[in-house]
This record gives sequence, C-alpha cells and structure tokens, in this order.
Amino acid sequence: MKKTKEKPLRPSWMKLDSAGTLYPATRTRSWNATFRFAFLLKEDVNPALLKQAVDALYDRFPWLYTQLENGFFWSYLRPIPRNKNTGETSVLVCEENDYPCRKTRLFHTDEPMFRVLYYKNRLAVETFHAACDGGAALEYIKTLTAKYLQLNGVAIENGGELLDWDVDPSEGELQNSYHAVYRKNASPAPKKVVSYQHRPPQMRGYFKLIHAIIPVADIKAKSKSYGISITEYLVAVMFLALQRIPLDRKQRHHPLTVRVPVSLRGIFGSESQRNFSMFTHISLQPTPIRRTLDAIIEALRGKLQEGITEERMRAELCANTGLLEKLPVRIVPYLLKRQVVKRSGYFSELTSTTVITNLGIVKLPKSMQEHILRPEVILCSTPFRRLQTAVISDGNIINFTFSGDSKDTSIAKEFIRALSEEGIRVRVETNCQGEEDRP
Amino acid sequence: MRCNACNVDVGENHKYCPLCGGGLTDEPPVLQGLTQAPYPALRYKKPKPTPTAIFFFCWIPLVVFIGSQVAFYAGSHYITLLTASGLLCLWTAVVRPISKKYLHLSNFAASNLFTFSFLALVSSCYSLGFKAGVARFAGFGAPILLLIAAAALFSAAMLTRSRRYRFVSDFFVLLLIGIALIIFKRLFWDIDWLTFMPSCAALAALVVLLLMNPRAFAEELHARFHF
Ligand SMILES: [Zn+2]
Repeated sequence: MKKTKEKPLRPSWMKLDSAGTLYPATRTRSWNATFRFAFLLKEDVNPALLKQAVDALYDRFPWLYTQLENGFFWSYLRPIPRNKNTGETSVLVCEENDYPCRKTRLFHTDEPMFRVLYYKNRLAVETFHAACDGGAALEYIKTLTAKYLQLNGVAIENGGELLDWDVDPSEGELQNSYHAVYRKNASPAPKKVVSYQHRPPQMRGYFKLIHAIIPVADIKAKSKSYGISITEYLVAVMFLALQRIPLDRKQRHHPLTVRVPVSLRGIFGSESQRNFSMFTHISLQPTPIRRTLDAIIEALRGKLQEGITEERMRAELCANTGLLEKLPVRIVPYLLKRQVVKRSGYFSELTSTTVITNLGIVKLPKSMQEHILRPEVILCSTPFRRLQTAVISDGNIINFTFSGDSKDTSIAKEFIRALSEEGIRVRVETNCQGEEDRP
Repeated sequence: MRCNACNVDVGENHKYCPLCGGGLTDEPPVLQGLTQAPYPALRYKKPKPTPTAIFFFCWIPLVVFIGSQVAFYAGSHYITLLTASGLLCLWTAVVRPISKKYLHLSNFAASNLFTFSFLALVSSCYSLGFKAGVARFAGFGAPILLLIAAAALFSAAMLTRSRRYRFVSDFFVLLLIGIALIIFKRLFWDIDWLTFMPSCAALAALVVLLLMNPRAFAEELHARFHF
C-alpha cells in the first residue's frame, strides 16, 4: 500500500451536521428528502461540458461529493471516489426523463448525494437534504453554472457573488454550525401543536409542479401598500387560499400553520455551506366566517419578524438539536436511535399545514445574468405533507412553485386566483400537461 | 393563451388551464417576454408495490421456526434435512443475490439473519431436548457459516483496495457473534474448537488490517464508531 505523508486534501470521512442526522432517518423505501434547484439557460445544455464542470468542483465542495455510510452510533459521510488520472467522478449527469425530486440513491453506492440533470435549456441539481440545505445548494448550482458557462467560453469573474472556486474550502464552510450555536441554557421554544392537514388523494410516484411566475414590481407595490415584506404578503395570501378550500370538518379545531424555513447564516454570522437553517411556524385558527386578506394581514402583522429573532431562533435550534448534544443519547446504537429520530421527524411534519420557503433574490455576476433566463426551486412532497411551496427570484420575476404528489390543485388555484384578484399579473406553467393530469 | 376563470397567462402548448382544468382563450399574454420552459412529457404509471423490509425480515425465521417444530414433533431426520435444504434454497434465491448486488456486503445483516436463524434452530431444539440430527448439524453449521463469512469478507477486503477499511465494522460484528456463540456453547455444551474459529478469524483479519496501515485503520475505526 502506498504511504503518503502529506496532509490529505480532503478528510477521509465527515460527521453529519445536526440537522443532517434527521434526513437519513426519516427516509422510506420510496421517498427521501430531495430538493431541486434549476437554472433556465438561454441555450441548450451541453452534457459533455456539464460533466466537466461537475468534476472540476470536486475539491471545492467536499461536503457535497459524499455518500452516506452506516456507523455504529451515527451515519457519516464518505467522499466519493475520483479517477486520479482523468479526474472523473461518479456524479450522475443525465438527461431528465422522470418527474422532478425522485429519491436519491443512498448508502452502498459510489454516486454522491446529488445528481445533475439537464433537459433542453434547463440545468438542474437535485440534492438530498443531509448533504446541505437550500442556501448551500443554491451556492453550488451558482458555482456549477458559472463553471459550465466558463467552459462554454463565457468570461466570468471568479468570486464576488460566487464562491471562489480556486481556493480550498475553509473550516467555517465545513462547520456544523448548529453545534457552535448551541447553548445549554437557552430559553424554551414555543410548544408545537398538530396543525390542519390538507390531504388530497396521493398518487405514489407522481409529481405535479405548478410554477407561478409573478413580476417582482407587482408584488412589491402590493406588499408595500400593506406595509409588510414580500414573504409576509405571500404567507398571508397562502392563509387566504387555505381558508377558501373546503376544510375537513373533523380537523376544525386544528390551526392552519405555515412553516417558513429560515437560513441562520445571516442571524448567527456563519459561513457554513452545510445544513444551517431552522423554521418558524405561523399559525392562524380558522374562523367560521372567512377572513378577508386585510384581516389576515392584521392578524399576522409582526408574527414573522417575531419568529425570526436571534433569541427565538436559538431557542428553536436548541430545542431541535439539543438532544443530539447529550451523551446518553449519543451512545445509543443508531439502529435504535433511528426509530426515535424518525418518529420525531414525522411528528414535526404534522405541526404544519404547508411550507413556504423563500430563497430570496439570487445574486449573480452581470456576465452570468445575460445567459440565464430564470431560477427555479422545487421542494419534494413528504409522506405527510402533500403540498410544499418554494419561492425564488432573480430580481425581475418571482418564481413561486407548488409541488406535490397529488393531482389536486385546489390550494394553488385559490392562491393564484387571490393574487390575480389583487391585480397581480401571473403566468402559470406546469410539468403535467397530459389529458390524465387534468385537475 | 389565457384562462379567464383564473385570470392568468398560460404557456403556449397547454391544452387546458393547469389550475382549474378549464378551457383557454387565445388572448395575448399580459406578461410579455417570458420564455416557456418545458418538462419532458411523461405518462403517470402506478409504481409496482415492492415487498417491504418487514416482510423480508420476518419470513425466514418463521420458516425456520415452523420447520424446527415440525422436525421436533415428527422426530424425523428427513424433515430436518428438508428444512435445511429449504433454507439453503432461500439463501440462494433471496439472500445471495442481495449481497451480490451490493458489493459492500451491504445487506450483511440480511445474510446474518440466515446464521441467526440457524442459531434459533439450535436453541429451540436444545431447549426441547432434541439433541440429535438438527442440533448437531446446526451446532457445527453456525460456526462454519461464520467462518466462511469471515473468509469471504477478508478476501473481499483484500481484493477491493479502496474499500479495504470499510470492512472493519463487519469484522467486529463477526467477532461479537463468535463470542456470543462461545458463551452460548459454554452455557449449554462443552466448548469445542470449532466455536473459537470465527472469533479467531475475525480477530486475525482486524489485526492484519491494523498492521497494514495503522493510521487509516484508526480513522476507519473512528468513523465507524464515532459518537
Ligand atoms: Zn383556470
């Protein structure tokens, strides 16, 4: 065996971060938490160059080019192999021929926890959540697209809005920031209650997307007139839509709850490129008489701001990951621990009706903007929550995506109709256009 | 194209409104300059139901249990032989293809189940006072199977260089099973040399790996057993 003295360029294995331990545990046979980011380019994607770009980023994103491995107390991450001579990796780069957000291959494979797909002018990266969260995956696809465009002959300045791909990954990027932020004596987080569940008939293996493309100017003017942020406005409209669908009488005592994931990087000043987000819940008890949008906005005013303060986020974080820091929990074999983690993950899903994750505006260098039409983000549906929504913007338009494994479009319909009633222009696109997909 | 019911623009090649399923009118879009981005056209096919893990993990011990009971009551060596060959068939048909599919002996647990079912057979036969035939065969069979597993693991570790150290925890499992077997034998039978072998083989394999590259071995150990 060859013996090398120099420090290895990348660790031979990596611990999962605190949130990352949840996702391998909650996976089922047919599902795992896989989400997608995509960029629509102006020209069709060249697969050979794309593969080159993917291979070239192997050293820069060591947390992504990994696969899960079973340990006795915890699963952990192991780097995928790379051909020493050609630099080729085993990342799957292929043309899209299935519904988005299919489950990722995990354990016992050389493929990493993400795959790169292309279809005509769409370049998509689908990532398993244990590797990183949305914010970090967005950084990856930005860098990947930049590298791809560079190989395509476009001059792109490294750094700035992009991660510098010529430097080594820093300690901070690889850090488990949950652990760094954890405090023993944090204030308790508010108690979670089971929320209203919208459960249209599920179609296993199906995946319906509805993209609502909305001009930023329209929605900005509207939210400004109410004196709230765009996210708050979208959450309010979501509540309006949830009110309008016929609610299940049996669940009338449960509140309607929207979960809003929050990236903690800004709040705690972390540069982690792995999981580092938490969520805040915004609840509203349904009333016999439907509220108007104004009434909803009044009821919600300040709730989101209140939910994302540093103190509140630290409390949530400590409540969610605190157990993982305790020695008696850590020394239980993973086989047993997994069952507990799985159930707590499932319970956590029951505490919200739907999710709105807002990735905000994607900042790209000018030279890249000219080659990109718009970004997309898609969340997978989960075994319990049939509808998820995600928002991303390029500064001109907002791409609001509904996704779920059901034909039902009632919430999307009510949401978009509510927006149109407010005078906001909307364009709708979908991935299912066949006769049998008709709602 | 537009849907007037929903008051939204809809892409060019849509036959109906994606939201309400209603018809479209051929009006110019309100939002100009947006390019349509199609997805591959797919037809939904209901996925075939896959046998669940529970099913797989339950039926082998069940077969063994029923088989051993039948063997005990019938007191027949033929039935015992039949159970054993039935198990062998199961192993060939189900367990082996799985462990072959995943190179890393990933479903090592599944293969171990086979060994465990043999152990169950032995223990149930013993507690029922049936010492002949089955018990003797299985009493020798279990350690031999473990020994074969240890040898297979070791050769696989030596052949696949990049994965050499990943077998560490599997060897540990073998070691533990071997030790459990010795305790079991000590409690119920006299120790015979065969029961020592699996533990010795697993231990030897671990020592060989350790000597080959102590640092990598330590790293592997840390990865596998970090808490
Ligand atoms: Zn319509």
